[in-house]
Amino acid sequence: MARQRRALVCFALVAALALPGWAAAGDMVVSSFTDPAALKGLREVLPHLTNKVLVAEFLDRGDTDLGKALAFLLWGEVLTAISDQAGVGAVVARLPDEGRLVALAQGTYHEAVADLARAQNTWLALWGLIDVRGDTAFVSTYLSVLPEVQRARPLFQVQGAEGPAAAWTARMPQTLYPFRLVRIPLERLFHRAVVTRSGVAVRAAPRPEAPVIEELGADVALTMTAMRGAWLEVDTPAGRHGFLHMEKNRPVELPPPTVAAHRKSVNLRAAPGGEVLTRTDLVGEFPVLDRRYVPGHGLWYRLAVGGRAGWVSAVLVEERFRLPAVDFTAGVLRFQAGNFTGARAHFDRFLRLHPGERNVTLGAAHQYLGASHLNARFPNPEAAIDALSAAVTLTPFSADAFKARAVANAGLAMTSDRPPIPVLEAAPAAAVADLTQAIRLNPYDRQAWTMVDTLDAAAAGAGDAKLRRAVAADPSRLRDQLREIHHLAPPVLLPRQVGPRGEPEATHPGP
Amino acid sequence: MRFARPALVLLLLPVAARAAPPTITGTTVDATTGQAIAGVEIGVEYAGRSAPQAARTDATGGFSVALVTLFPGAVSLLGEVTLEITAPGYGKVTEILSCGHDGQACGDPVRVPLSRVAGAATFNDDEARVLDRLYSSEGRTLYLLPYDLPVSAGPAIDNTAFQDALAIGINTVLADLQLPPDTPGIEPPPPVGLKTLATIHVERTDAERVQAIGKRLNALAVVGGSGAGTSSGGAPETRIVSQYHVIPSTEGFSVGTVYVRDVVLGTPESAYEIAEGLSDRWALYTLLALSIRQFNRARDEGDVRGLAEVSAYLRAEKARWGVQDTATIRRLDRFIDLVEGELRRLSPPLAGGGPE
Repeated sequence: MARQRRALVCFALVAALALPGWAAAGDMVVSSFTDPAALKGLREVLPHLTNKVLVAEFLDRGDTDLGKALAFLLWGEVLTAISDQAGVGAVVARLPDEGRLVALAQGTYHEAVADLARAQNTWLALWGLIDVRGDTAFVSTYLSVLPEVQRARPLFQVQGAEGPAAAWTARMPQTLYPFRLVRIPLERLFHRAVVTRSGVAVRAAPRPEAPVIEELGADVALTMTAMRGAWLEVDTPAGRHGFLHMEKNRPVELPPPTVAAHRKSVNLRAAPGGEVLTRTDLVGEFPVLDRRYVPGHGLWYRLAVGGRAGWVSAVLVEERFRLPAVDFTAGVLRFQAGNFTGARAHFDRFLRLHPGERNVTLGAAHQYLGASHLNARFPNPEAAIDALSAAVTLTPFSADAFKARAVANAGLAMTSDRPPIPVLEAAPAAAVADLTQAIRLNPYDRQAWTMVDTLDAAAAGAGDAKLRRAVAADPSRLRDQLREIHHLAPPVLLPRQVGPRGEPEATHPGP
Repeated sequence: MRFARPALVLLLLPVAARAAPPTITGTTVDATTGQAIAGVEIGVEYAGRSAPQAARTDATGGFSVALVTLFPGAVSLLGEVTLEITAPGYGKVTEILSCGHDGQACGDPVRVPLSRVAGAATFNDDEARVLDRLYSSEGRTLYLLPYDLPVSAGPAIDNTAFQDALAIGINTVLADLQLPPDTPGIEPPPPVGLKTLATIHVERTDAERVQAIGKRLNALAVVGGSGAGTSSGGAPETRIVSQYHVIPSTEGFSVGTVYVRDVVLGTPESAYEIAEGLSDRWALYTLLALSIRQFNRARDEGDVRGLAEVSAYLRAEKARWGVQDTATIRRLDRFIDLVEGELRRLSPPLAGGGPE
C-alpha cells in the first residue's frame, strides 16, 4: 500500500523554503499607515524571511486602545500557532508613540495595510476592525494576500508538465479572506496564561517610567487579565498585579487560552515528561496554565483538569485560539513553508470549528486542504478530490474552483503507476468535465484555454506524453468533448498578448 | 433500530400533508398617495425556483404567493425569497425577504410602496447647495441615508463606524473580484467612496425623490434603512429594512429599488453587526451600478474591451454566491446575457474554431 501511495506522488512540492532558523520568528515595526515617505524609509524586519505575515493594528473607531492590543494579541497567537515551524515569521505593525488607528476608513485602510506589507516584504497581512460596547468586543478580521505574490505561488501543479502543459497549475484566485464578525466578552478575549521568554520587569502602571514591582526570570507562567495597547495586565505567581510591555523583544509567549481533547486515560504529569501524578480522561476543553518546550521531550501543556493541575504532552491535545483567522493564517504559512501535514491540521481544524464562515473563505480552506493532501509526501488523492469538491459545492459559480479540481484530476490521471481506485479511474473524464465547466463560467480565462490547447495537442497525438496517455486513451471521445468546449468560446476573447505595434495577436482560441 | 427512520417518516406524512404551504402576502401602494395599486405583477424566486408571474394584485392592492417547500412548513429551508414587483408607470421594486429565521420575516404581510418613475424633481436653494457640495464628479460614490434604528439600539449604533465597515466590506469585495489573472487589461475596479446624506430630508419610501437626488448627485446608489425591535416567542429581535436605490440604468436591465428585510436576533449592539449582514449585498449592488455605467459608456463608444471587462466583473461577482442565491444568480445572468449580446453585435464570432 505504501508503495502504491508513493507511486501517487505526481504533484510538485510547491515552494518549500529552506531558510535559516528552526522556529517561527517575531518582530515589530512602528510606522505611519498613511505616509508613503515613512513607508519608503522603513527598515525591513526579519529580512532573512520571505514567508511571513504582517499583523496590523486594528481600526478602532471608538479610540479604546484595543485596536493595538488586538494586533499584539493576534501576533502572539499566530506566533504560538507556528512556533515549531522553521522559516516563517510574524511582524506586528503599530502606529508610533501612543497613536491609535481611529480614522483610516473609506476603503483606504486595507490598501494602507497592503502597502505596509509590501514595504516589509511580507506576503500576508492580517488586519481588521474592532468595536467595543460595554464589556463586549466585536471583531471583524481579514487576511489579505498580496496579489502579485499570490499569482506567483501555485497551490499545486501537474509534475513534469512543460511548455503549454505547464498551464495545468492550480492557483488560489482570492487575495482576501474575510472572517465572520466575532462577538466576544473582553475578559474571554484576553484572559489566559502567558509565559515569560526571558527576564522581564513587571511595572506598577502601563508606562515605561512606572516603578518596577517585580523582576521575573524565564519560563514563569503569569495570568494575563487584560491588555491596554501593547501593555499586558498580569498577575504574578507571587500575587502581585502589574504590567508588561509586549514590545519588539516579545518578553512573553501567548499560549492558546484553552486546548481541547477527547482521550481516555491520559497521563497527567508533575513536570513536562516527569512523574505521572494520575491517569485521567481528557474529554472537553481545558484552560492552559503553562506551556513549555523541553528539548528531547517536545512541547507540553500544563492544564487544569478536574480540580487538579498537571502536564500533558501537546500531541494529545488540540489548540483553541480565540479568533478563526489564527488557524487559517497558520495554515497558509505552513503550506507555503512546505509543511503540508501541519497545514492540513490547521485547515481541518478551521473547517471543523468554524463551519459558519463565509463560503468563499470556507472554499479557500477546502482548496488549501486538498492541495495539502496532494502535495504531501504520501498524497491522499481521495481526500484531495473530496476537499476540492467541497470547494466546488461552496462556490459553484467559481471557474477557479472547477479549474483546480481539473488540474488535480489531470495530475492523478497522469500518474504512471495507477492503482485501481475509483477516483483515479474517473480522473481523465472528470478533468475534461471540470475544465468545460470552468470555461462555461469564465470563457475569458486564458489559462483555461491554454489547458484546452494541450488537450487539442493530446487528441492530435502530440504534446506532453503523459497527458496524452492520460486523457487521450479514447481520442474520439476526447475530440467530442473538445468540440463542446470550443463552442463555449465567447465571440470576443481578449488578446493573449499585445504585439509589437500594439495590435492584439490572437483573438480566438481555435485549434 | 434499522427501520426507525423510515417508520418515523411514514408517521409524520399525514401531519405534513395537512400543513398549509407557506404563503407570502402583501399590499402594493402608491408611495405618494398611499392608495392601493391593482394589477401589479409579482414575480418570485427562491431556493432554485422561479415564477416570473406568480401573482397579480387585486383591487385592494393585495397579493398572495404560495411557496413550494420540500416539506410543508419547512420555511426556514427557503433562505431568501425574492419578489420582483413591476407596474406600468412605476419604478421596479425588488423585495428580498429573509426566511432563514423560522420564517418570521416571510410570514409577515409585506407593504410595498411603489414610486412613479422619476421625473424632473425640484430642490430648494438650501437643498441644491447641499447637493452641489456632495456631487460626485467621478460618479464613484454611494450615498448613505443614516439608518433609523430603534431607540434601544440607537445609542450603540455609530453611523461613522457603520459607514467604515460598509466601505471596507464593499471595497475589499471589489478589490478581490476573481478576475482572470493572466488576462492583461482587466483590473479590479478602483475603490468607491461613501458619503452621508444627513442634511437632506427625504422620506425613505419616496423612491422617486431618492432617485432624483441620486441622479442629481451622479451617485452609484443611495442606500438607507430602518429597523424596529420586536419579539418572537419572548425573544427580542430586530427587523431591519434596507433600501438600495441603484441610480444608473440601461435599456434591458435595471435594478431600481431593492428592499431587503433582515431579522437580527436580539438588539444589535455594534454597527459592525448590522454592516456585516449588509456588506455582501451592498457590494453586489455597487458592482451592478458600476457595471451598468460602464456598459452604457462602452456600448455607446463601441468599446469591445470595456464590454468584456463588464462581463468579467459580473462573472467574478457571480463566483462569490452560492447555489441557494437563485435571484442574485439569475439577475447576474440576465445582465451577462445582455453584455454578451452586445459583444456579439460589435464583434461577430469568427468562423471555425473546433477540432474536427
